[in-house]
Amino acid sequence: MKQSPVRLPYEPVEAPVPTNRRVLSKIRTRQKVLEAARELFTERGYEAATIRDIARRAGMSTGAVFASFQDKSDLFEAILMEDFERVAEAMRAASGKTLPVEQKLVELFAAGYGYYLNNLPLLQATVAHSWVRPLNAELRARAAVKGLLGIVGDALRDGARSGEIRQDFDVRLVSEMLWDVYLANYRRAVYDGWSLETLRARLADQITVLLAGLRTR
Amino acid sequence: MGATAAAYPREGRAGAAAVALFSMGASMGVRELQKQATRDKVVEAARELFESVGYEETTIRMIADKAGVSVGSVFTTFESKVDIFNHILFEKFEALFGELQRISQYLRGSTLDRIASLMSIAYGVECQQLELMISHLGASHGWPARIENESNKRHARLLGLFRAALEQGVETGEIRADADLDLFVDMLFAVYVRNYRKAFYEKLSTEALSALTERQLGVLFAGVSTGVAAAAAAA
Repeated sequence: MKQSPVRLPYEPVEAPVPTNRRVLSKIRTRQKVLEAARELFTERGYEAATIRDIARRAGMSTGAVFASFQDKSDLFEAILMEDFERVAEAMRAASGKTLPVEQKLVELFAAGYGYYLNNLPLLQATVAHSWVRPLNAELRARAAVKGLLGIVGDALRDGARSGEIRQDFDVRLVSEMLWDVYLANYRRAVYDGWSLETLRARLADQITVLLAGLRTR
Repeated sequence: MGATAAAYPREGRAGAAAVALFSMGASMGVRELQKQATRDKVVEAARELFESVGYEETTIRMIADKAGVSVGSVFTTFESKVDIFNHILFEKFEALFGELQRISQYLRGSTLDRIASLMSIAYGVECQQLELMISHLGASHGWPARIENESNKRHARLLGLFRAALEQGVETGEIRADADLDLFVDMLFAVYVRNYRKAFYEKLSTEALSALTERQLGVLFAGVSTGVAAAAAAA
């Protein structure tokens, strides 16, 4: 029990504090980089935003950026995953409502539109980049999309369980087709300035057609 | 018209060059012919680079180097990189569309079968240059509105073939008369285009792609078919 007073400052009680502080400051740096990068990718698109610009906007050195992220594509992917997570949350919230399957799907996808319409330039950069990213990044992104498709699939399965639509259809096939159509509509938002209401109405019509063949009646 | 001719001096220009040769002296014609040769070299170099390196990663300098011309020469034949790409897409589309149009009059079977055949032929052609298609789809998400406009006009012609097949289906009573064909054609197109991504990342063969398309069409058509669809298809 007897301890030398000299050792006291090095006791474990004291030790975690600088570590925590370092961890916290690392997280804060990472967050600052992400915010700056999000702004620049939104303003300029993926190709035109450089690590140097991002560092300057975040008020730090390029070295500090590289301490948190491997390269630009790693940084972009982190933002993309953040977005996926937020969209998934919004979609899950929508799919938790008790609604007929068709309406539930509309709500669910409209949650996605609602999120990305406020981030349209970033979405464009994301989609454009999605065609050129390296294969392992593509696989990670696919896993994330799979999570979103799972929410769509669950909504379809609920509809089958409640007897609104047939039981014997390929849930994955239909989920992916819904996803294709949902994504294709974004072009109209980008090039024709479609509003959330217009996108939503269009999608509702498309979902009606897609589900018509699955109706039990 | 003037702007278009300047941006895309195609066959019309070669004809004009020939006329100029007689009316204005040989030097003008030679210059025009040289310009055409440069243009062809630029287009070919760009096509190879877009396919192998990708659209985003390809620079005008790379195109110039590969074509063996100066960067300045590239810019005298095309306004920008996206215009070169657009020209390549224009040529590629014309070839595909001509083929589809020619074949569409010989197609038999149900509406679904006929549209599945059209898509299958398109996949067969486009998958021979799948990397170029992937570059195309990637670039299409960031290109300027004027290119989007031209792209939409091309797609409208392709969708016209789908639509004609559907209208025939309405006439034979196979497709519901109250079906929203514009909406339906848009959905067909969305699914058709996204499949290229699947083909690329999942390394689907054109056969696998066609089989997938038929299953997708099965779902889509169930939503617009009248009860007599199966009977009409069998007939």
